[in-house]
Amino acid sequence: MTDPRIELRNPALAALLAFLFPGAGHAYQRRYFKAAIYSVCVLGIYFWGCSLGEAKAVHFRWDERAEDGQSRQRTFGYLAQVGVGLPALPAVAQQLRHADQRDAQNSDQQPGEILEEINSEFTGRLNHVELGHPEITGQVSGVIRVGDYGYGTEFEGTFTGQTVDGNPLQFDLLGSRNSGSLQIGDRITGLDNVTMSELVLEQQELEFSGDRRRFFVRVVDKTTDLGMIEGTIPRPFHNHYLAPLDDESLQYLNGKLGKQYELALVYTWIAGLLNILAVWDALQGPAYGYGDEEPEEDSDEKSSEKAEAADADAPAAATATAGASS
Amino acid sequence: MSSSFLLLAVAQNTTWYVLPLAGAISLVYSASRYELPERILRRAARLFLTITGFMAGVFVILWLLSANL
Repeated sequence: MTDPRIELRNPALAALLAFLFPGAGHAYQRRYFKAAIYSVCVLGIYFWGCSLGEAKAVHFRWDERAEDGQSRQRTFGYLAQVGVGLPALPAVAQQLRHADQRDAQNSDQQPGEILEEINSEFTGRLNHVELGHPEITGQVSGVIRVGDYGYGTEFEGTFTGQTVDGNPLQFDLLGSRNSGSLQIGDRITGLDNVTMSELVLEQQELEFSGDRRRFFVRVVDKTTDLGMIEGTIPRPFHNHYLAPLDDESLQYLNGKLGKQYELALVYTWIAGLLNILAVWDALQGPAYGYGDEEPEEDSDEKSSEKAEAADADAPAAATATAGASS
Repeated sequence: MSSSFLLLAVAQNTTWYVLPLAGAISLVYSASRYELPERILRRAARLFLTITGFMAGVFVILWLLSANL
């Protein structure tokens, strides 16, 4: 029975608000002190955990089956993290979008299927390109467009940009996707390998990025292989924020952050679990009462004192009874 | 002995993370039990000391047990 001094207003609505945003349900019930405690503690721990995990500690993945070369991932920890509400909920939408993307990739056997058209800023390297230029090898930046695959697995595109020296460049891109002449990182993922393996062979450390996608394309002129261009294109925020991670990315994160990543997971799990207490408080009120009742220890002491007094009285009463009867 | 001190110093780096966590847990748990702010804060302080005291005790026991390793 909730203390009548506590105005829960509409408890179901308050519980929903408390789940969606820690502290909001109590603010709605005008319990501002508790709203501040829940909001600061739960969100503070949650975002600190996110920070420790470099914003990759919260993600949701629920594979129905193992993909080729991947283990079946089921992030049970997210079931605790989601208790934080809105800050963690986008991970569910990202998992659905990620699954759709994988289904599309798995249906890649249909030749010429257009997965997406790319028209974006590009930074990377260029190697052995001779389109009216002397051989160019080095850093370039510009705008890359790939699309209009047409029939079969053919694709076409253009690159317009400049070298680091400011020399303008423009050339066409043409090739076949199945031959490996076009490789683009996942559209939706939390973290992706963007190491330029083809061009920077001496680079030992792998490089991962959430906001950049690896982009590799061979530059050809009909049947002549002119070279390759490899680098990264941007991945928009909504395509990497709280998006699922694959095995390789998780290994990279664990290797890079070590214990810090484990701490990040623990912080975000506990934040979500703590908010469950807040939701219950918004729905039912405090578990033990208002707080101005006599402490349990005192009542225990009083009851034990009463019991002792009763014990002490009992022999006297018994003696008196015995005396009266005699 | 110096190596154990070194290990202790290394362990402390991550051990400190338990303090804000224990603080948050104490406050949220106590807030879900009572309504009065004074009562919440008093219970939270006691719970915080209980948690950290228990962990410190375990820490000391493990440290003593591993002192000669």
